[in-house]
Amino acid sequence: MKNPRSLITLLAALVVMLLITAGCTAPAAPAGGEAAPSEASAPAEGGEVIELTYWHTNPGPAGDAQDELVDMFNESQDAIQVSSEFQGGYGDLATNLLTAFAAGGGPEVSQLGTFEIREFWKSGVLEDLTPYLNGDNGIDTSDWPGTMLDAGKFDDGIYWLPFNVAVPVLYYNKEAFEEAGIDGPPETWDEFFEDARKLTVKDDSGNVTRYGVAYIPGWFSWAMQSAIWSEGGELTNKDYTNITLNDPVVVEVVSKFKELLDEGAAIYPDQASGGHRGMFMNGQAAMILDSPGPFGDIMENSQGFTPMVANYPAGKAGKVYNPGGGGIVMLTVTPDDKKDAAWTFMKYMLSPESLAYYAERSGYTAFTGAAQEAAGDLLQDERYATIHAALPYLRGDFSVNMSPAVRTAFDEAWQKVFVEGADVQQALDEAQAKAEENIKDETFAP
Amino acid sequence: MGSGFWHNLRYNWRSGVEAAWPFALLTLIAIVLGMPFFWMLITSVKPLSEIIIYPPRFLPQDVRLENYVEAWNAAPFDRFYINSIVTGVATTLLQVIFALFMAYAFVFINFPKKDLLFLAVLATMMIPIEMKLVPNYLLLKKLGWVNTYWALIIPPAAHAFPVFVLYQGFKTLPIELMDAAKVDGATHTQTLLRIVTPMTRPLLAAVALVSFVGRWNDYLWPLIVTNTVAMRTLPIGLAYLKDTQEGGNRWNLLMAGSVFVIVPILILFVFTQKQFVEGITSGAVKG
Repeated sequence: MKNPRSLITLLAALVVMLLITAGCTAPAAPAGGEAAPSEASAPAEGGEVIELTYWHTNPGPAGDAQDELVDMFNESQDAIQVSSEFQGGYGDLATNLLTAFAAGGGPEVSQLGTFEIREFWKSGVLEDLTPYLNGDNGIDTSDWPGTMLDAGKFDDGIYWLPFNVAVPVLYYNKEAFEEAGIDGPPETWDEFFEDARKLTVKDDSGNVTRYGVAYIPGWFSWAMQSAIWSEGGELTNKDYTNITLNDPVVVEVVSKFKELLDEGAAIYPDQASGGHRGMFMNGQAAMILDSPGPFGDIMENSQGFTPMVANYPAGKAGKVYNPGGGGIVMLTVTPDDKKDAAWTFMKYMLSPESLAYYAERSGYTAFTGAAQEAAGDLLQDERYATIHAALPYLRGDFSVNMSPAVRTAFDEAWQKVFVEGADVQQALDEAQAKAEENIKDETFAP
Repeated sequence: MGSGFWHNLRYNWRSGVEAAWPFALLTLIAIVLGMPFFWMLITSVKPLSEIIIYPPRFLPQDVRLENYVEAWNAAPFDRFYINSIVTGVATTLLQVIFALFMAYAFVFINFPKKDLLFLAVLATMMIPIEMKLVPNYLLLKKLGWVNTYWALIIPPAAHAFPVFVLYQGFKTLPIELMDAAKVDGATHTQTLLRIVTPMTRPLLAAVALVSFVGRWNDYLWPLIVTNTVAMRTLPIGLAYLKDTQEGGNRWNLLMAGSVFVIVPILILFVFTQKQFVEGITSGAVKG
C-alpha cells in the first residue's frame, strides 16, 4: 500500500541482523527494575502524571490529525500526558523503532505499518493486547469489518490493531464513460477489462490520447491482489507453507492486466510525472485503481471532467478487498506500571469519536460500525458512503506484505511482465521458485 | 591601415568563433545541469493543478507564492534551520580541525606503524553507515546523548574522508619549505598553522564545503538519534512534505521546501568558490 520500500526494508533487515549479532551484549528490554536510562522522569505513582510517548508516521493532514487526537486525549483527563512525535515514513518509523528497541528504549505506543507486523512480533517488540482487549477496560470489536482483527493475530495473541484503514477505491471519469456509452462503473473484473478497452481513445495515426486505465507505479500489486482474491486466487497462505505465486488464477489476472498494456488500453506510468494520479486528473486516463488517499486532490484538481468514485469490481469469489494503511501497537519496552495508561491511550485513539474525527481529517475510513455512526454527517456525502461501502469486504491478511521473500518475488515478476514484456507464466514460475528459496532465510521461515 | 584592418577583422572573427566554442559547450552543460533547479523553482510556484497538466508547461500561468508559506508552516522549519546550521557548522569545524592535525601527522611526522594506522583510518570509510547505526546508537544511549546536539555533532566529527583529501594535498607541498621551516626553528604547530594551512586554503575550503554539505543533507543519522520535533534537521523537515498519504505528494510544497534546504548551500558555494579562485590565482601569480 505504501511506496516501494525495498531499500528501507533491506536496511531494516540489516538492523535486525545487527541486532541478532549484537544480541549477546545488547541490554535486554528492561524487565522490571534495571536502571533504564530515564526518559520519562515521573514515576507512575498515585497522583503523579504518567508520561507516555507516541510515535507516528503520515505527514500532512493524516499526521496532524493524530497530533490533534493526542492533544484532545491529554485535555480529556489529568492522569496521563502523551507526547506525539512524527518519525518519517513507514520505513523510517520502523527503523527508528528497531534501533530504539535494541537500546531498550523507544515509545510506549506507536503507529506501525503492515509490512513489519510479523517481523516485529517475532522479534518480541510487540506487546500482546489480548488481555487489554478482553479486560474490563476492553474494546468491543464485534462491529469491526472483515478480518481486520486477524492482521495482528499470531499464535494466541493480538499484537497490532488497525487504526488508519484505507480501502480500495476506483476513480473514474464520468464524461469518458458517457462518451463510450458505458452505464456506470464496472461491476465485475471482466467488465473492468472490457470498459478499459472501450474507454481508450486513439487519434488517426494510432497514438493513444486517452488510456482506459493507468496502473499505480511501484505498488500496483496492492490493487492486483484485490483482483486476484476476488477471482478466487491466492498468493500465499498465512504461514508461508503454501506459496502460490504461479497459481492459475494469478497467471490469468496478471495476463489480463498485461493484455490491456499490450493493446494500449492501459499504461504503466512513471512516478516522476505525477504517476497514475496525475494522468487521471489531467484526463489522460479514464480510470485508476487507488485508495481514498488522493480523494481530496482528485476532487479539487481534476481538469475538465467530473471525477467519480466506485468500489473495486467483484470476481468469481465476490468482492474481496485488500486493505491498506496501518495500525497501532504497544511496545514491550513499556514498563509494567505504564501499560494500563498506554492501553487507555490506545483505546482513546480507537474510540468511535476519534476514528470518526480522524476519518474526516485524514481521508482514511471510519472503519468500525460505531465510528461510522459517529461520523454520520460525513457519510451523508454519497462519495464517502461509497468508499465506506467497501469495508465489509476487507480481508485483513497482510501476509504478502509481511514476507520480503514473497513480496519481492511477486513485485519483480509483474514489473518484468509490465515493463519488459516478459512471459507471464514463466515470470511467475520463476517468482514462485525464488520465493520458496528465499523464505528459508527469513526469521519466520515455515 | 587598410590591410591591417581586414586582417584584424578576419583574425578577430576567427578567434571569436574559436573562443565561442567553449562558451557554447559550457552554456549547454549549464542548461542541462540547471534544468532540475529551474524545474524545482517553477514547480514550487505552481498550483497543483498545473503540475499534473499534460503537456507540461515551462512557465506557470498562475504564480502561487502561498506554496512557500504553506510549506514553511507544514513543519517548524525555523527550528530545523537552527538545528541544521548549529550541527552542520560544529561538525564541519571539528572534521576540518581533526583532519588538519591527522593529515599533518601522517605526512610530515615519522612515527612507528604509521602506514598501518593510516590504513586503519581509511578502512573506516569502507564501513557502510548502516552497519554503524545500532552500535553507535547503543553507545549514545549509554552516554545519555540520544536526542541531543551531541548526538548530531560528535559521532560524525571523526571522518576519514577529509583526512584522506588533506593527506593527498599535503603530500604535494614542496618538502624544502618544511625543511626551511625546521631550520628556522618552527615547531610542528607553527609549521601547520603558518605554512601548511595558508598554502592549502582552497583545499581546506573544498573539504569544509564537502563536509558541510554531507552533514546538511544527512537524513538517516539525525532521524535515528533524534525523536522530538525540536531536535530535527532540515532533511527530515522535507519528510513532512513528502508522501502525505499513501504515496501522494504535494509536489509544489515539496519543491518549495527543497528550495529552503538548497538555498543556504548555494550561498555557501558562491562564497567558497571565491576562495577556490583566490587560492588558485594567488598561487599562479607567485609561480
